[in-house]
Amino acid sequence: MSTDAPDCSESLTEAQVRHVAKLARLAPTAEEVARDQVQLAAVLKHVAKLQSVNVSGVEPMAQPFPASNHLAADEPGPCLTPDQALANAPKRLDDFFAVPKVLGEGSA
Amino acid sequence: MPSVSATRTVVSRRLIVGLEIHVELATRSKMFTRAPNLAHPENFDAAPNSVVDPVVLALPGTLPVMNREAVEMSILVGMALHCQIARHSKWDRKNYFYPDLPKGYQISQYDQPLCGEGSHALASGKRIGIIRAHLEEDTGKLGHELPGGLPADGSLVDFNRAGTPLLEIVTAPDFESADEVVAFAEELRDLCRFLGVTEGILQRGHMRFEPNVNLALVLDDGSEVRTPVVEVKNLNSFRAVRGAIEHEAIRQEAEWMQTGRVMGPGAKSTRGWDDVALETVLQREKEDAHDYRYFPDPDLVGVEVDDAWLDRLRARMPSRPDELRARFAGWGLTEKDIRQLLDDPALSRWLREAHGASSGTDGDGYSLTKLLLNNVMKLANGRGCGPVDLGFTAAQAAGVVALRQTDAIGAQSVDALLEAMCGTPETPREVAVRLGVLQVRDDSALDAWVEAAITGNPQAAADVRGGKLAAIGRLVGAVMKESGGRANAKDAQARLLERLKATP
Amino acid sequence: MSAGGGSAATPLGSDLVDLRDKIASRAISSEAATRATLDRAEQLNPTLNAFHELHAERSLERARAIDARIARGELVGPLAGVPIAIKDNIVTSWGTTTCSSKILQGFKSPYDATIVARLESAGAILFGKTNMDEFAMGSSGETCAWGPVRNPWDTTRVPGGSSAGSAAAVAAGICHAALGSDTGGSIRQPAAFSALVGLKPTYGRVSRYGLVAFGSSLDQIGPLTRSVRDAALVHSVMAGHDHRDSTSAIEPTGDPVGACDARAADPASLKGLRVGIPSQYLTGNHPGVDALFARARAQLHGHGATLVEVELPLTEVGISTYYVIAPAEACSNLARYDGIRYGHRTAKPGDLFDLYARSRSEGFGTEVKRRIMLGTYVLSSGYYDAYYRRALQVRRLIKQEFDTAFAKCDVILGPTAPTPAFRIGSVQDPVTMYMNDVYTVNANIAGICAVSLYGGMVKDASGGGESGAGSGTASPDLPIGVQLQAPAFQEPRLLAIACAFESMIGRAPVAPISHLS
Repeated sequence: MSTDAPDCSESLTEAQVRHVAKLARLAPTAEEVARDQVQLAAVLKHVAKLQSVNVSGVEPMAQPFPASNHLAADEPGPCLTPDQALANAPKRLDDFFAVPKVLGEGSA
Repeated sequence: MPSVSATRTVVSRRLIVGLEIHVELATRSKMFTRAPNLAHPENFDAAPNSVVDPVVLALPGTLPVMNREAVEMSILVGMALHCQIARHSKWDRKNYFYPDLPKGYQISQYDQPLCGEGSHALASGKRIGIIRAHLEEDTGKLGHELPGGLPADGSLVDFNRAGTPLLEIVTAPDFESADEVVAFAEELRDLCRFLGVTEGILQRGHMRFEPNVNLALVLDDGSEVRTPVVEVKNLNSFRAVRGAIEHEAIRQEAEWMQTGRVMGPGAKSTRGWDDVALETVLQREKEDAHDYRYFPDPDLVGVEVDDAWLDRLRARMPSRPDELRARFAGWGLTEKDIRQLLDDPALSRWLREAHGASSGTDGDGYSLTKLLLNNVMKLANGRGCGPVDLGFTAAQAAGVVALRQTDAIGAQSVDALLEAMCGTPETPREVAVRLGVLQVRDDSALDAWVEAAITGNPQAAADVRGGKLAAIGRLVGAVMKESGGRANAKDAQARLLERLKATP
Repeated sequence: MSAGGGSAATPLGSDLVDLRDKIASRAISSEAATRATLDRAEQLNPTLNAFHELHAERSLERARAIDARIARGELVGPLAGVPIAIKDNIVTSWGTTTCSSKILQGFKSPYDATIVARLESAGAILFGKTNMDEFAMGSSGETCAWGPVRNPWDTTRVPGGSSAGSAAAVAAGICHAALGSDTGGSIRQPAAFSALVGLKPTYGRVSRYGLVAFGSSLDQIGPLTRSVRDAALVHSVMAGHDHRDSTSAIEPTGDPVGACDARAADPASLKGLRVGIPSQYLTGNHPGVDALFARARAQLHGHGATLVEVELPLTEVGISTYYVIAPAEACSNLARYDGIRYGHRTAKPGDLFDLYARSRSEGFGTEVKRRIMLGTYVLSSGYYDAYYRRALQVRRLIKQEFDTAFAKCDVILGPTAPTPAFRIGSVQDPVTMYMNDVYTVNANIAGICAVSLYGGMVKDASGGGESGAGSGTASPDLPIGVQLQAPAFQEPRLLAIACAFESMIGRAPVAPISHLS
């Protein structure tokens, strides 16, 4: 992860917007891309105020309070029946969730 | 940049392999929720989508909660691999989209893993460095046909495996041959089985291997080049591990001869293993496969491991296979028996408990092993269960050996006694009394049985008197029958001989 | 200025505690109260669009059961028989949970949120799910997929967001309490716009299990009510550790209800209280807001409180921090909406990528997609350090700033929002909309507790937006809110001070549309 200076231009490029949309699995129309180029840049410009804060030596804080070891005993609990699990499934085949044909094995 | 040199020849080559291993931990429930764990023996054949709950399916509003046992099992493995155990480790989200990944991210550990550097010495003595080991959750399974091999219109997702605790171990690139890699994989499997963290059944996917392979080629001008690193994904048998590495060793050199491509940024590739054609196959590159946008998971808190916790876990560590082998040899067991014990961790755990309850001598160890392998396993197999499920403890079984050692019961009574012990907390002696198999050492009772046996078997008695001592067996048997098994066989034989020599 | 005891036709009592007591003493039946609530909701929904669903059959059945138990002399819980509305991002195993999004239209949860179980154990009648900004992303109630929610004080204006429907329901006198969720101000700002009390508990104080996640390190569930004592009661039923939520706090909850006793409610108890006034809160506000903030300070001073100047220089940069952290967490939290296990799926997906991209683009609204894009961007390779990591560093500094301020004071006082409710459709620019949250986001970032209280009425002369009739259109007076912030886990103390403040300012008037006026 590099420490690029953030983008402070008036708009993002179409390529940038399309790349982010792809990562996020969204399919904006050409109009939406054009609008996003401007509006996202406006938000990012506002967000760039973060650059004005002196953060040297400051540890990032992901959660408000330090806590640890919220652990559960290894006791099996209730689970759903296949019918319950599939109750909201938009497409079901037998006892499986159906998706368009995918080539290849498992996840990345 | 590629520099193809027609004149350069390879004088020698060194294989360089690092290994990534994913171990499915056999906890009873999943890593971040209490739905039953598919990797636990009691669930392995669960019907599709039958061990899922709202958290597994990533329903709106659900949250993860860490499984303590998964953390402890991981620390045990880390300790066995001599790893630094992190005082503080945390969870991160690895974000990407795939149907087998319900949340659209995998909970994993990115920059603060549970276990740090360690090492493992192979039986050959060579030391393999461990870089790290971290915990994460497994994905569901994507299939392309319905059960029974019927074709499906699309692909099918089963989330039973989703959320299984997965320990990912990464070694340093210290392997120099396929043999070493396979030896390590086998030893790691034995180790994990002995720690009780997995059954290690590779066909069930309990362990998956991903070697990272490249070659150092020494050229005729004395220089050395390295081929680009190839990661071979998802190998789930030792045969495949060996095959893939050996194939890569040849393929990479040939490719370098053709292209001159060397190791460097952007040069790493991913291949799969074709178990039929016995070759590695380039996988389609996923363009944004590597922007996982890792960030700390805000739904989880970190793991703090203090000395007290480490001490408790150290006490829980069972013996390593090599230590066990030495102990069993000390008990005088045959290689065949030792192999049988090492092959099934449940047996050596049972023996450890039984031996602990006995007077702890090597002789006790020997007798307990015989009891286990001959009698207890016979009973367990007959009932289709394991020795721990028979309804008596290994410690109680140690009492049976004690009774045999004092001749309080006969060898022929052991099976009946064990059977009667199932499901009762009584001591073996109490059960033996109840069954009436406690040997009677009463001379007058013995005399009566001996007389009855001689009277009932005149031919055998005559044979013995005539010098055919082999016939004594029948008479001893008759005494045992008369006494309902309560006579002491040795005493009976001695008394019979005395009696028969005395009478004409 | 309390409302009358309610006419015989609408037996709802004057506030939640009053209704609860009347049900317990059988002066009013829960069935009658629930029926009146449902009728009111039905009657006003075409105007306000506060509710997505009303569950009449189930609620009346439960109400009757409570009445029967009371009749038999059985012990019932502290909320027994009282109708309470819940925001539609809290899952219930009955009806649907949609987060006001098309992507979850018709979704039926097989489980209940922890707080739902706790409220029902306490006897509450959960009669309906309220509309909200989609996935809780908004400050107005305008991004609701089922249409904008309207402010009972002026139906051309927003009630605030994202807990828009919950605020409208209570402000319109439909029920005495409704649940909201607060990630950057989504309980407190609607409370301010609607003359209500809105409490954001300390992070981790209330279980998030069953709250559809938006900003996981920021979200909390809290009540919207018309009195502090009511808010304390509802909050106390929900508060406390939950083993299903790893971020749930183990700190003891104390006694928020007991803290709001008569002694606390006496403004005399304000004597000697140290009230922090950040200089950063004194500028950039609507003049009416400034005036009422000044009046509150003067009244506090008059009652013997000590006003202490404190510095919160990171107030404004809190917006920048929030609009990095919240979208980052949100884009990851919303990755599960992919049309595979539940929710909207596009009609004829080509390949897998198509399934994802079209299902999500069709199902999510504009603001949600914007925040997903923003979050994805700030986490993406090359930008993580400059945006996300830096935002987490500033987060720590914001928390430290509060810690330093609280060393000098017991509570911090300020406006809840810089303006009163604006007209529907009048704010189109995202950044302008985001600035609504300038006084609220830092409490979420730091995790501390905060409550918005009624602060008085202002005149807003702005035109435009839906009324369209141009400037000079007479507009009803609009409520504004004053916020108290306190250190983490000090809810009992915060609520006690809020009680006294409420007595000092006077109880909020009720909206004209409410039957109680």
